[in-house]
Amino acid sequence: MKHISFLMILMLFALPLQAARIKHIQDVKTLPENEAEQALWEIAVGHQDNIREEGRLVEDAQLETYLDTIGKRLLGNRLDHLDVQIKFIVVQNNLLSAWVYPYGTIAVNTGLLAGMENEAQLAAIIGHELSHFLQRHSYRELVADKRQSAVGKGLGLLATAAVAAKTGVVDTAMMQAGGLWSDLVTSGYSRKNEHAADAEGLALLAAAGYDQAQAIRAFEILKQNDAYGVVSPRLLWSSHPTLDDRLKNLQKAVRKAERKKGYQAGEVPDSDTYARAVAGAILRTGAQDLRERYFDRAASAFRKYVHAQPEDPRGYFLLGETDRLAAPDGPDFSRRVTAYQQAVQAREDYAPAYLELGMAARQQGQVDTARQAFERYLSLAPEAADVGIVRWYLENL
Amino acid sequence: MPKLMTMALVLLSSTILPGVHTVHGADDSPYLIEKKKFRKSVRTVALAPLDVPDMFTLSAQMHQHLEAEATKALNKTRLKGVGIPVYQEIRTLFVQRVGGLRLDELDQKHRTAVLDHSKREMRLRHPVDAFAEMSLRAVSAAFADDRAEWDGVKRKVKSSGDGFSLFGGKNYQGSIAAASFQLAIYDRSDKLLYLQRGGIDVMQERRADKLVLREDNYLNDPKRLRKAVQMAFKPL
Repeated sequence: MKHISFLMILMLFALPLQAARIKHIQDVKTLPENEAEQALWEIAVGHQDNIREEGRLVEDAQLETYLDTIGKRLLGNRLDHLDVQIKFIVVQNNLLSAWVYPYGTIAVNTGLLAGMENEAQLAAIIGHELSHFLQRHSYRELVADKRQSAVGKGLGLLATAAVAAKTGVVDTAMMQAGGLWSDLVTSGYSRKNEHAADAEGLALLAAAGYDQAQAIRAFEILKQNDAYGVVSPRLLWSSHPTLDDRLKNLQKAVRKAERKKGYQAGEVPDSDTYARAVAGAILRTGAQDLRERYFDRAASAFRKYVHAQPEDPRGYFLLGETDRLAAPDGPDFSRRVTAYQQAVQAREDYAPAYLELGMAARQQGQVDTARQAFERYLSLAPEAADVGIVRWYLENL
Repeated sequence: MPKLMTMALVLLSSTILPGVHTVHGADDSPYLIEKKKFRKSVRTVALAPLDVPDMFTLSAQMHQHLEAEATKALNKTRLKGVGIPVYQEIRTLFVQRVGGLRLDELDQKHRTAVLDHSKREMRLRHPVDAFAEMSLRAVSAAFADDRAEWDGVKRKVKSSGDGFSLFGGKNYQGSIAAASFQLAIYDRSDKLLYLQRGGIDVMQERRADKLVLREDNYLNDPKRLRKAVQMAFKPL
């Protein structure tokens, strides 16, 4: 973790004095303009480091390449004017959320990837975040809108960083200061900047040849998730100020574009192709939902996964597990048994499914079926941690 | 300045025990579903053996004492229970079947297998409504003026050296790691229905401007252990 100097912290407190010098920045080279912006970047790096250290960073090169392709398509020739490289990271989190760091790295939650229905909808969200980046909204809010912005609220954390720097626990202090960035990420930008990013995001979407109406659908999905009530609305990307207003604005803008002479509808990419591209994120989202006991959502994600990856036994197996964990005593075992059977049909040597087939049969008193399944499990996974226990089951059938 | 000291203390404290749990406050209801619904649906429970994470040093005698107190406390409630020995017998059998457990990380898979299979076996053999799981937990306790307060208890924090008092007098406050006894009750599909803790003792002491782990055995006072168990069971 880079050291954040006390001087930089003092600079941040002095920032309102510089507000008048900030101008709208678009299509220009993007590098930190001064020490204060550099400090903001470092805080953002701290936040990103936290994600990695906490094991929430999803390392999936294929997925990152896919996102990179979308980013390049959205930016088009603007890429030639940027000094920084746009990068993507995928974060294990079921919230439908994405955010951009001030140096052009876009973080996309697995929940967002799984929640969108096609590439254009995802592109609408990425376009929105790219617009925040191109217009340097995080920095602009820090210096120009301190009273209302989340960054302003987070300045206290920088004071903590200063104290801790003196006491020699800089890393921890930076970890806390990373909370400043979290604050911005989760609370959203000001209304003005959100509208600005919506408008530019829509323009990027259209210029890239995607159907603009998909941005509306993307917002509707975010809104549905908000209404789902599983998490605090404050934490949702969709809870940036006035989601309803933003949705209305988008609808108005799309209708206006459609009325223009010579309007040509953009592409609505195939949803199956999209599901295949983000299948890994769908599986992770389902697994997290399963751990957190959101059984309906987990089942829905696994169904989506098996549709996208019918050859992978994991989707079927996890569907069976969802059913088992939701109702371990049954009484209906048929659904989970079918799912485990589908898993072994997809891959004949998929050991975990045999174990569960054996367990379900044992629970129902089907001795021969249980014996067969347990024996198959033991032959396929002789090193598994529970082989001794499974042998005991066999001995006592 | 005292406020800044508080922030620094929180940071210091959090560096020592990153796995500390947040406090389940005394004002929080222990019931995760309506109490009425809980009382209607949970009449029989199976009591699982006490789980003691590696960070704690608990003598065999005190382990036994805690389990005996828990059994006593359960018998005083309206719940009918399947005793710890029943559950323990299955766990012991399964531990033997995986070739025994060691305390190293490599054994984590064996531990998980034993815990998972023994719970499934208990579920299969005993038609109880719920499973009561007891454990020792490290929690974060509010700490001010060398006194910590959490999970229904107040304890003095041992201090030596000047440290914070140099800057903030006795007005500093923050959080400190503390040990609690936890009772969690799950339904048959593992849904958490009840969670209550009773505080035992602080796990840290102040040395000048640092909080360090205590070296003495703070889990050796039968009265404090009994009180902690009683607090966890009391709302039942």
